[in-house]
Amino acid sequence: MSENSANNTDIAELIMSAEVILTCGAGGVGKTTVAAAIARAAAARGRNVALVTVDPARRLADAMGIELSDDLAEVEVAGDGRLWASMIDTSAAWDRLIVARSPNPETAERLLSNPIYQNITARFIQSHEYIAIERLHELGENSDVDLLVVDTPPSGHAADLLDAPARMVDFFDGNLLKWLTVPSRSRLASAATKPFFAAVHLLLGNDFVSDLSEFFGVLRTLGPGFTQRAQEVEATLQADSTKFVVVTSPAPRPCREAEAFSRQLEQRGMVASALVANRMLPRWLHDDMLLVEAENLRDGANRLADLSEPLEPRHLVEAAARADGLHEVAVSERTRLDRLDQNSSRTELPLVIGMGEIEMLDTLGDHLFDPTLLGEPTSG
Amino acid sequence: MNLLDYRLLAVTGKGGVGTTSVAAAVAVCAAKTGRKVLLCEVEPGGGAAAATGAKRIRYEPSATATVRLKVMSMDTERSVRDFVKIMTRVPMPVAAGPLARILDFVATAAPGVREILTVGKLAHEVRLATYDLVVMDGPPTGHIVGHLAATEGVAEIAGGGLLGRQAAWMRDILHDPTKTAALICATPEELPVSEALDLRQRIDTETGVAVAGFVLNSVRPPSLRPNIEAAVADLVLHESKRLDGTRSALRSAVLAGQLRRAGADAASRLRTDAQTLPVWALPLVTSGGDDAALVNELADALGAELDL
Repeated sequence: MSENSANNTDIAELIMSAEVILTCGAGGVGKTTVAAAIARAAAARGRNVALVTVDPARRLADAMGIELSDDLAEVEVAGDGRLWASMIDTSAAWDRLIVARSPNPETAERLLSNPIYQNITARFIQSHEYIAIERLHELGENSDVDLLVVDTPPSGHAADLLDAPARMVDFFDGNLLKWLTVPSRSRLASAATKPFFAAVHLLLGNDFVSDLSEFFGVLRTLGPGFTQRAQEVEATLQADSTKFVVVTSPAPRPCREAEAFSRQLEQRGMVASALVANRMLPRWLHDDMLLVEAENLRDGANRLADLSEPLEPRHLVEAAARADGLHEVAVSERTRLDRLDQNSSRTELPLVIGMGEIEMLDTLGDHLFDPTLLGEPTSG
Repeated sequence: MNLLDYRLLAVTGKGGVGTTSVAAAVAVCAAKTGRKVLLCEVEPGGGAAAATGAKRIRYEPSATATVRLKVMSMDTERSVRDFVKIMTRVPMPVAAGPLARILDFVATAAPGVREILTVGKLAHEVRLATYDLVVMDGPPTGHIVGHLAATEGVAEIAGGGLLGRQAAWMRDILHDPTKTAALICATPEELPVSEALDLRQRIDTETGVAVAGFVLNSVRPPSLRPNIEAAVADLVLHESKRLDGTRSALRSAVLAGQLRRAGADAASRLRTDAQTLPVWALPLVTSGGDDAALVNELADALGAELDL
């Protein structure tokens, strides 16, 4: 074991005691897989769990029997607990949010049919992130559920997630919306704003600017409802019972993003409760003893080749080279991880090969609860 | 067509496949052939500075550890000001405080405006011909189509404005298959390969931009021949005392083979479904944490793949 030994007992405790777990991290690190493994492991150990994912891999969703739906559907799981899952289609969820907050169907229709609507929701207000947290808030009120696991959209920026509700409030309450919806004649009349709006008209054309003003004029009427809800949602996000699990892989960029994410959480007075390093090679690979063994193999190649029929000494020399190569990879991954912030407990999950999805999830679940499994090669 | 003879390469891939390293490797490789190259990271903080050994990164191109290679970070607010200056020859009124925010918002609100400010800036660099090659360390697969199709979207929605009227010359550069192409990255794993192949279809049908080919990144070294590997696996379990002190090495050689094979299906699917497009394979490189050293190794491997 290295000095920075992984600690899988803390995460086991976290999984058994937390009310809300948000998995965060860069794309491609297996964040959804880790969220699903946590949810299944908790349910197998008696908790009633709801898993909310934004965009899981098709294969994973199929294997778990999750369908694209905002509503929780029960998923079969071995053990004493129960597991429900929901897979959110964020743009459909936004449409519903607009309909729900609109004073009448005509207003909703005017907004939904506007060509710039999709674009606004997709990018300005971080709608994926906001929807994920909105669901978190809503499901928190469901008394059947005692653990809610939310898989957040891929992001290296904590701000995208944490500030989404505040941005929403800011958007509806701030000057921005007022400015955009002021009739164009008075805009041009103000000495302070005239040059600016002249530039916007120049860049985007008069038609577009009128479309924009009209759209925001209507959207503004929805403001009060959105603002209040977003404030409630923000409170849920900052509650003590909400735990952040940052997931990374040993690749360079995910490690950098995991570190940045943890730092940004701290800047907001919050902490990452756990760091999960996913897809790790077995621990014995980065032991220097492996290099000694590879050397022994080269030295003894002539005598050892006799032990097995098709083998020639050169094959054992080749095998030794593979050992050296894999050791180098393992050491470089380990070095990157050890340079990460050590404030939150770190849990390591193995790189799993040649397994079906469910078997993989349960293997990862076992590792979350049993630190002695670390170091074993994991393949189906 | 030689990959390095394009004038603008948009590098993209699923998150986590090493898009930034590949984009930097393409840029370094081109610079080593004597070309003047600009590498632009589209998402600030993406790691292009570390990947090229640049001391700093900002909107103005900065020097890197490689001669002839400059690196920059996209800033659409700066880009919009550049446009106004280029088009009207009058500097844009200073947008400070709330005005800057509104400008930022308007650019975000209009479909394609932020993208056209990014792609347009790079197309402008191509037009100026300060560089032989401009490499875009692009957004992930989910967003690249929006960038490459931005000229159409903007012309449609804000066609009456200055930006919309600029779309024509940008399109001439972006749609010229001898000038501009996308380079799609994947690792030998199922999901990244599926996304890479899907993206190729989307770029073909939704944009007028050509696809140069695929980069298969992080390929593990070849495994032993199957019968040899099986014999090595037998040795791990062999009772002979002579094998003491070698079993971990034997075991890791077998594991190396398993890891390589785990990616082999995905890799061969990419090669098959790529049809006539080239697939350039780059090895899994370890670097002890030095991004620029890693990129240099990748650049050399790419050079070998391109028969330079």
